[in-house]
Amino acid sequence: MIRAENLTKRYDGILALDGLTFEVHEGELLALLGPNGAGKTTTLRLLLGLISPTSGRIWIAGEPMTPGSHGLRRRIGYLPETPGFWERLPAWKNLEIYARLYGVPAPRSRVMALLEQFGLADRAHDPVATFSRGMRQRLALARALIHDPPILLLDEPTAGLDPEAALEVRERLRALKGQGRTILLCTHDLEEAERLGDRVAILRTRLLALDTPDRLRAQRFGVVVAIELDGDPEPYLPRVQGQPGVIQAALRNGRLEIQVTDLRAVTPNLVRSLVEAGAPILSVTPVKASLEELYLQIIREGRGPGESG
Amino acid sequence: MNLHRIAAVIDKEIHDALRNRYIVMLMVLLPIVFAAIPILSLTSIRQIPPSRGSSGELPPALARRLAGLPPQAQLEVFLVSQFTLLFWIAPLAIPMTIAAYSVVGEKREKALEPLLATPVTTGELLTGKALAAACPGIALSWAAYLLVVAAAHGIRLSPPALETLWGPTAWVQIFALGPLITLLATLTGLIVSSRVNDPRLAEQIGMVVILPLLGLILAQSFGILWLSGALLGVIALFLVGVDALLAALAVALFERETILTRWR
Repeated sequence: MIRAENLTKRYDGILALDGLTFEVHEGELLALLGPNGAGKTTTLRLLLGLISPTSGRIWIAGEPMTPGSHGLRRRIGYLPETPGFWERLPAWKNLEIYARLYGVPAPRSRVMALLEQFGLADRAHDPVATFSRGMRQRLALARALIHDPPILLLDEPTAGLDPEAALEVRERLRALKGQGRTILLCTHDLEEAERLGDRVAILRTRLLALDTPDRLRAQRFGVVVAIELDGDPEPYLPRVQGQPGVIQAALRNGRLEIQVTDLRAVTPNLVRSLVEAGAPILSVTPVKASLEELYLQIIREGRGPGESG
Repeated sequence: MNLHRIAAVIDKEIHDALRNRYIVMLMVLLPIVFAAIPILSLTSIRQIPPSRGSSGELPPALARRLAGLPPQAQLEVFLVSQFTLLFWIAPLAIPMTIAAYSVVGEKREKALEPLLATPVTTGELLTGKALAAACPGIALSWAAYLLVVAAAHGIRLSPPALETLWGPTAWVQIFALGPLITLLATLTGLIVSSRVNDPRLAEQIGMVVILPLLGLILAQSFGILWLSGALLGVIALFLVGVDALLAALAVALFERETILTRWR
């Protein structure tokens, strides 16, 4: 649905994006992660044709996207980092203008239905200047949906929101994903990325990683299972190390941490072997590195010489 | 060009302008002022006894052109012709203010990025903005002009003065040159607005357009030149060309990428 090939963008000679290639499949939510200045907003602006790439190509729903592809923008709903409303105009008027720009039939009724859906109907006639940050974000999301686009490009939709408002926006994003829309979500919130994203992309001027969080973990940290015993686990360590499918085993935090080739295939045999050896097993849990650990490791590895922060 | 999208842009600009107290104040006051000045001046000269009216006070070149008319009529014709020129400037203040704030204001509100992400083209966006900025000023100046015409009939202005105020030459000035000059000022304001990040600066630079107009008014006041129908026709044609050029320039100079990425 979205395809970027070898996208590079320079601003006055400064490299903002370097050879970015990725695809977002139909109905997929791809979370784009990266530190400030990593090129996330630049990527969204390139995908929308708001700016031109220095090199590289973009396809939206199979059609090439360029700054002149005005019609193709009908397929995309955009929520920029700062919502950006006409502050003096009432909420309904803000949306109605956009509905007309997108050529939505019966714009007024579409606007009112969306305001109702986003819990803003009672404030429809108030100037946007009087809205809280959470209300603005909901309104911005409603604006991005005004023409019912199959593709959504969302730039940090929960940034700066209080936990309740952020949760509400996340619920709406989950619902939008459930409707089969293709979503590219830029976020700094790793938990949000993991909960909502089918895949995550980690960007720092160039693409550092792109896959599901679980596969990225497996690639980076392997598959690890932790076995807690009632007592000292050390005597059982040699037995575990000799088992087929075990890559390595160690004692950590008073328990056995065993890196295996395949969680489902190896774990039952491991447990059986330990039980046969009389080990008093209390718990067996797969160990998942947090996305934060994964992200930080990838970002640190991706940092160029002399870079910090 | 998609007319529905242009209409949407106009609708937005007008709604936004009507919520700006400064612009609303201008919209109310300017027609009153521009109608009041000629009406009060013409009423006051009607009070002067005919014996005191003198063509000797007019610039010599002008006095020669108006020779043969009674002194009172000469004075009235002179004043009416000056006031007609005033209606070239009358529509400018409102469009200049709206146009100057148009792009810079949206950029400041960060409202330009989502707008540019819609299917609206630069041509449609600027056409909508230019029309929304120019039309209220033009309409209000026409209203002020019609008020002056009605008042002139009410105070029984001399027939030559009435012909000068309500005749083909005046119509060309009010209904053709006024809008063309307004469009020129509006497009200048839009161009400047899309290149700077301070609306006041945009307004000030845009106001430079008024200087040549003031030059024409002064030239006619001093009798250096007389804006005949033929000369007005030439000016109108020149303005059509300049407006077309400016419109093309406005679209070419509206660099979406620069506006989005370099303005903070």
